[in-house]
Amino acid sequence: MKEERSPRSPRLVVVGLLLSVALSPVEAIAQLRAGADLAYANRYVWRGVTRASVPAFQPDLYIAYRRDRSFASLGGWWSFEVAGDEDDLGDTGPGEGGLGESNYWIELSTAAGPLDLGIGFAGYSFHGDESGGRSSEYDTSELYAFVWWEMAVWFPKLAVWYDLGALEGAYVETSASLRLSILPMASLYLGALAGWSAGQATNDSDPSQPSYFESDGLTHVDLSTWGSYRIGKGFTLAPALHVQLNIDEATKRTRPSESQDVKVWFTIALSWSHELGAQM
Amino acid sequence: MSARSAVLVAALVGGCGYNVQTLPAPVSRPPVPHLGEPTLHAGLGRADITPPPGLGTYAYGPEGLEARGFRNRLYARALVLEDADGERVAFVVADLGVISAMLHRSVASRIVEPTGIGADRLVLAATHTHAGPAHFIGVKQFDDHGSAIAGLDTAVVRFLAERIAGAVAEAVDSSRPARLAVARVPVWGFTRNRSLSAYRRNPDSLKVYLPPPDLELEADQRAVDPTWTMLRVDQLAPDGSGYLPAGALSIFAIHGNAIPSVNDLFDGDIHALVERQLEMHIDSLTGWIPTYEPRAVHLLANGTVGDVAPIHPESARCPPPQLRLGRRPGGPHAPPPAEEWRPVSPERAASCMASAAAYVDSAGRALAQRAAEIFDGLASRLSGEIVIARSFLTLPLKGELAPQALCEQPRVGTATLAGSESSPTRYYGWRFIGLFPTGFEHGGSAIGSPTGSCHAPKRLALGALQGMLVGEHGFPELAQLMVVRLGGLLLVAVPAEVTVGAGVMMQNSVRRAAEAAGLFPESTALIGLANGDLRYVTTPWEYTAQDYEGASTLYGPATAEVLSEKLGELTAAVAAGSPTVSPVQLEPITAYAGRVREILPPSDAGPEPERIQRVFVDLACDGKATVARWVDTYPGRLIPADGPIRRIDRGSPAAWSPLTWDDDSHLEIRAIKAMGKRGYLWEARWNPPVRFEGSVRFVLLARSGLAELPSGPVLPCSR
Repeated sequence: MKEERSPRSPRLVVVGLLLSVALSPVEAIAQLRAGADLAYANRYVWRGVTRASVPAFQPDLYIAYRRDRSFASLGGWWSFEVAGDEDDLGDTGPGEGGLGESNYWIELSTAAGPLDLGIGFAGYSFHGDESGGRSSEYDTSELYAFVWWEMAVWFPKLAVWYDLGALEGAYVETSASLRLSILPMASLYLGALAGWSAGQATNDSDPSQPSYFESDGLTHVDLSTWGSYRIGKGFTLAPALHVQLNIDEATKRTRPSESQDVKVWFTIALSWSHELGAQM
Repeated sequence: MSARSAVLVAALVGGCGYNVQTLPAPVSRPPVPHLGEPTLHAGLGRADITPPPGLGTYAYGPEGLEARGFRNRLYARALVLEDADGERVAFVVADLGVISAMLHRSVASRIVEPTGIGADRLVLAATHTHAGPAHFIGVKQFDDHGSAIAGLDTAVVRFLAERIAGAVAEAVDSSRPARLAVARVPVWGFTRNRSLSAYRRNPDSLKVYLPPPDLELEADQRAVDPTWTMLRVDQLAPDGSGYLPAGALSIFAIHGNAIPSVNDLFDGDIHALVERQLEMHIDSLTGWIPTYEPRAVHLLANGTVGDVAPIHPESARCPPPQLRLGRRPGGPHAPPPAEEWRPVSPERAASCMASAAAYVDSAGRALAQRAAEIFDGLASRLSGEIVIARSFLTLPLKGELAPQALCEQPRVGTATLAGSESSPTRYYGWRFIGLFPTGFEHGGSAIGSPTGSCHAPKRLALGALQGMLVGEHGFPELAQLMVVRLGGLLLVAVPAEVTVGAGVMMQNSVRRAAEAAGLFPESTALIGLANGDLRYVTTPWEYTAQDYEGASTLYGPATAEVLSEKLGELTAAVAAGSPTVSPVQLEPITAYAGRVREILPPSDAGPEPERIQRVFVDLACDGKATVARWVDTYPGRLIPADGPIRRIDRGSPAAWSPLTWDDDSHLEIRAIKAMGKRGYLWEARWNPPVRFEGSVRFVLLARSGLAELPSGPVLPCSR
């Protein structure tokens, strides 16, 4: 039985993360990097849940500080939905378009041998119509951590998000990617991801509390193929195609009036980054 | 796919866009007999050809790095011989990866007027160090893809040509009556055949080098040409009191790739040590104790080096970069990172370099010891009665005048992109989705259809697209061949990396032609990588194996036979004719160069020396080496340098004595970063093989506008 609880202060988390970067004892080449991404998704699916059944443009901006093999990054992300009709899902609300969601985050990551480790904090703000979209009452924040293991052609990954807002619970993703070398200098990846709810399902004793899933446990399985290719100085193009097996009822909902066991979507992201200088 | 990974992609988009240059044909002046002193004359010269930092290194292709400084100086060493009839020939061996026809002609153009030596009397050869500079080739594909930094820089061509010409001029100026002796001694145990399976396909008639039965060698160490050919040169002392040892020309086949591709410094590789050690030995024979550069000159040219590698330990071979997912800053919605070529870790690279340096040091000293023994053994066989003759041919490899047996268009095979056995590229072993072989290996799937193409069984890199993508003039289109007779020795200069077997073919042809013309040479020797660069030449049998060397034999399986035949014709001309009318077929040539760029740092880079406050900013043992950092002039002003720029003294403030200077394989000089108007930050890392007691100091030597500056004393790192 869950109890309603007040959100933790995200400010303390951010300050803690920043301090840990500043006090990092690594002596190595340090660089500042600025970057931006612009993604297009034919539908916006987040953790298996269709958040918008209409196309979305999702830019982000970040700045990162690198010391040796570690990053400290700070950034913002925005999701702009194309206006759909009344039977479309969307954070902005039925028939609406525009900014539906924005995030900001701070993240620390480092590499330790073949392992890539990271922790971060993300804040989520919603800008939708109160009458049918996601409004600011859904605003929340999360702590997250991930680890992935770089093997020869396999990349298993484990990621955990813990909600600091009204929800008490975690969301877990386990995934693995297989690299297929299609050119001597380029690969195609096949990925399989399973999402798990650990406390982010509907609170049966108080169904009015926000929830992401109907039930705890396996929420969905996402099979994907993707690549990420440098196309010029500082630019990268990353297409991805997803075929998702929907397990949880929340992930099956593809429109207000439609529920499917399988859904397909794609994204393509254009990324740019630039080193702002190096210092010894 | 990163920018640096683009060997294939660069080839894909390389196509046309040549910088076309016509290179002149400077013909030598007719010889003038020595009336007063009817004897052999010889002169020796040396020029520093170390470029400033900022150039790419050449011979590892894009796997090489940008040079940030130097470990030992690169030199061009020259020997000019002239017989009693005035027949003159110049040998130059430069610490470079290759020699381009463009460089050969550029040097000849500069020396023909002051010395009378034109292209037809100039044997310009490379040691084949893989840590020399790029940007002087003048062949599009090699200019654009032969180095981590693409492009031809005419300033680099000019810089090298002027300095090499200076070495020849110095040799001519120092020419005096001389005595010469020739030795051919097998030196086993330092080299191995890196393409043994290909070598084994040769008929037994080409496997002529056999070690003594009691010498225990691995099979690959038995499949080499172990011959050390040495010409010892003694000059008449200035006071006429007798002949003194002055220098030598050696020919020995060993690849200059003991220093791995992770190296970021110019370095003469194993040849540098052998050159210097014999020079020091010769100086010791005459009682000369040099402060800096030795007085003796030892030219060490490469022989049939195509498939002959040093026996460097596995630990000295750094693996090439690997394609891995990159890392990027994140966020919950971050797209996946792009793949990147990840080089070996700095720790692994340092380990490779340390292992390679130790190998170069030990093998170089051991080879130099053998060289000294050979040199000393020639003391009683010196003679001044040497007849010199030469013949020269500019052989077109494409077009109507090209030999019919050659393939009409040059092509590389897939194994070329895989790299050699001793220096594989990042593409070596690549298979489509990890399963299906695509030819990026040695032999195996690199072998294509046995028929149907002039290049068969070569599996062409990029298939039928290669011709379109490389362009009509992307590869070399001519070969400058030369035969030089020095008494009983016939020297063959070939602009390629000739395999052991192909070298035997060529020397057999030369010997047969000589004998047919009534000349019975005591010995023959082949100087590879001379007067141009065709890449590799294998025997037709080795070609069928499609190892790296066969795949890089550009004009097909008949190349060795064609070159053998032409060398035979040149030999017949030398043997049959009067030396003064030896046939010379020297034509102007057209260079189809790649992109022309300004890469060489200019000599006026940064502030004037007078405006710079030279100062040591750091001086300490960092645990691995004794390190000094100082502010000095910019690359381009500090380097190139004629003579030393810094010295290390040992002793105490009361009495310092010179210990070494910046031509030392244990002393690394590196450009670190520009500091604007304050100057440029440089670093010296000194890691001597033996421990020194007491203190040392670093001394920045005086230069134009800059006074000498010693550092304070420092205790060197102990081993």
